[in-house]
Amino acid sequence: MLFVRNGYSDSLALEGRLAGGECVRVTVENGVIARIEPAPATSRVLAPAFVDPHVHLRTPGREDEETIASGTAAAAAGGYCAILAMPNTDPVVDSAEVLRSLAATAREEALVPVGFMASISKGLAGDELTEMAELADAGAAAFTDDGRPVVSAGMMRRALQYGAVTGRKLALHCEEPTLSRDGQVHEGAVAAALGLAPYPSVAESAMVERDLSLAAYEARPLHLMHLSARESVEALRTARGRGVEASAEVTPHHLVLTDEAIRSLDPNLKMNPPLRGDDDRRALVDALRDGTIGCVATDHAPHSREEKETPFEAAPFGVTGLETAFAALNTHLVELGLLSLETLLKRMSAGPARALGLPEPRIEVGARANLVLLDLEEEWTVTEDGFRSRSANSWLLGERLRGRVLTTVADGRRVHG
Amino acid sequence: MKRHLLSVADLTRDDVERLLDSATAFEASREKLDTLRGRLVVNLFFEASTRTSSSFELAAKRLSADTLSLKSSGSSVEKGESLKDTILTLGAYDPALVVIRHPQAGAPELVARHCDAHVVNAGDGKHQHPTQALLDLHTLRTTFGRLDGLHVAIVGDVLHSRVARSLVQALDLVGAHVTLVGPPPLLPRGIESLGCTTATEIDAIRDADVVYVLRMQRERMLAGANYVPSLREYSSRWGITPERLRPGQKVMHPGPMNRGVEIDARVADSADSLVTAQVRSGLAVRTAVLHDLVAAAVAAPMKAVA
Repeated sequence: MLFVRNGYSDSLALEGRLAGGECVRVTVENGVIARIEPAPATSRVLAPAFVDPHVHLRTPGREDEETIASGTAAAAAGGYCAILAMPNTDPVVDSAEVLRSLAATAREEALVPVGFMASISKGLAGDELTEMAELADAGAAAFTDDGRPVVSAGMMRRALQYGAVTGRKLALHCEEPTLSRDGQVHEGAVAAALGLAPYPSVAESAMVERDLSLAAYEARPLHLMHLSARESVEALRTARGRGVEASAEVTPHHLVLTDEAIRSLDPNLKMNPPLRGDDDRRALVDALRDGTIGCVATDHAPHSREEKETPFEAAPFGVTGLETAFAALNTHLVELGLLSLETLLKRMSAGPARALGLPEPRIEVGARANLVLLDLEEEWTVTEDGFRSRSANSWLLGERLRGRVLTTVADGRRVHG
Repeated sequence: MKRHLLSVADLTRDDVERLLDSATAFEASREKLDTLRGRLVVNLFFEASTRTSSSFELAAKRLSADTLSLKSSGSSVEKGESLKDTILTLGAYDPALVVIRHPQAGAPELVARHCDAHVVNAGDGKHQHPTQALLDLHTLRTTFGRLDGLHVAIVGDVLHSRVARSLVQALDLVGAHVTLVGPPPLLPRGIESLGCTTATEIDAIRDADVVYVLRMQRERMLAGANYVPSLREYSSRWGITPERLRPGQKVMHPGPMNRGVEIDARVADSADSLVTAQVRSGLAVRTAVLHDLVAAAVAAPMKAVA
């Protein structure tokens, strides 16, 4: 279930080239697509707006870093018409009361529809299931202990079994904690050179394999979050080949960067899972292209300036991404010929919507308007003062990107541009 | 652009040769220089240190600097002041140089971003300790008369050692060969890319000109960490005893030593031990580094960091 500020619908018209190549004028009346007519040629691209299945809104608890208002404004600027917020807040979203209060706030201040995931375990402690049925009734979009793995295999199995009554997916942060330990960066030559505690690929892939085995045994679907390692992709591909209903997401930073980047010791390059090797990065791009991974997710993780202005080793994990995702991937994948624009647009919209059971944004007469208008040529520089997010811990600060979100229409309203 | 010494990776071979020549000159005379007269050198030590902090302090005094030494205990760090605020505060006194030792990798980079002084990394986390590597090179060059072609075996806990990382890079830079020797869990995956080979059998030290013994940090080797089953088993398998050394094979250790654990007391005290020479080199090399960073007329700069 998605929540958005109560109120109005817009009437407007946008002209652009659809992914199929034809140029159209889309007229929206009272929030609904009323007409789609031929239009003069234009280089601007009109597409179904984006869906982000993985965002940290830091509310409740760290409203200095992000609020529902600022996070959804950032989403609007990034071309999103729906985002899903993670429950690792303070307090944790592990009861219907917390969820209802978030929904009420979202109805007052969310610029873009937002859904809230609830936690799998109480307090994210990994040992007691939350009241999943009640949480689902209160509107939980899915269940996750994101930020942490479900360590116990037995607990994971129970969550898969009981979760069936909710009709919602489990979204999993796969990390075997006795293998990742206090790891900070990908185990390999860079970690060895920098003397930073290693977080090996197998810490992710071993957990991916366990969870896929459990999902196969229980014949339940699941969603794998922010995959980073080639071995995880291979395990997913094998399991899907055997009929396991598993969806998966990958972040822009894992698609663009490798652990070589962290030699600068910039705390804005520190995240969990960590940046991995080029072999991993290429496997992720291939998987996104062939659909093994169907979703781009930003894992937008705002942190205050003082939290990140520390030595690399002391900094918390996480980087922002809502306002740069499209431009980063257009610049580093589409422009380099590694991914078609059409595929990227699908993986940022229909892919995540289907994976998490959200309404799929479509450009068709009678549909609620969820549109994004893109300029593929515009170049811009990512700067600290250019964000609508309350935080500026972007991995792209100072970078020049190509491609800009001109207009976003979310749930029938013009929310950006 | 300011010149700093944050990592051995910042150095060229020319930098190393210039610094070692300068260290040799400082060692040959006891004369005081005016390089830093009227200037301030701040020594920030957020981690325990005897050799490094004392030699930096003496080096600054040799160059006639005013010195300010700050430890985390007893400072506002104990009240929760951030490193950034600490450095902004001390930066207000306009130091020429800031020397920093910190338990977290990346601290010297942060300091360099937030102050106008030349920054010297005196050890950050398990990352880098560039002046240790330089003083070890100086000790080797003084002992053997050359660095090119030397074979150094570094033995022990490489995983947790900034000394090993810096030294491997420095030895590779000057054309020496390095073999890392130790129990497999203490040899980090991918370390060969720094320019070395690895071995798990202690026999691998046999052909080395020098055996460089690393400290086994007892606090990291507690039962249950399982890097090694016990210090007892480590000693029996990898400890450096007279029986494991060739006659005349030199031995080095960055200190502090755990006699009877990684190094037999008879080895530590033998004529082939270069441990005291290392300490002496420390003063000369650190004097050379401070002098080089501030002396204006240097032709080949260390990599400048914005």
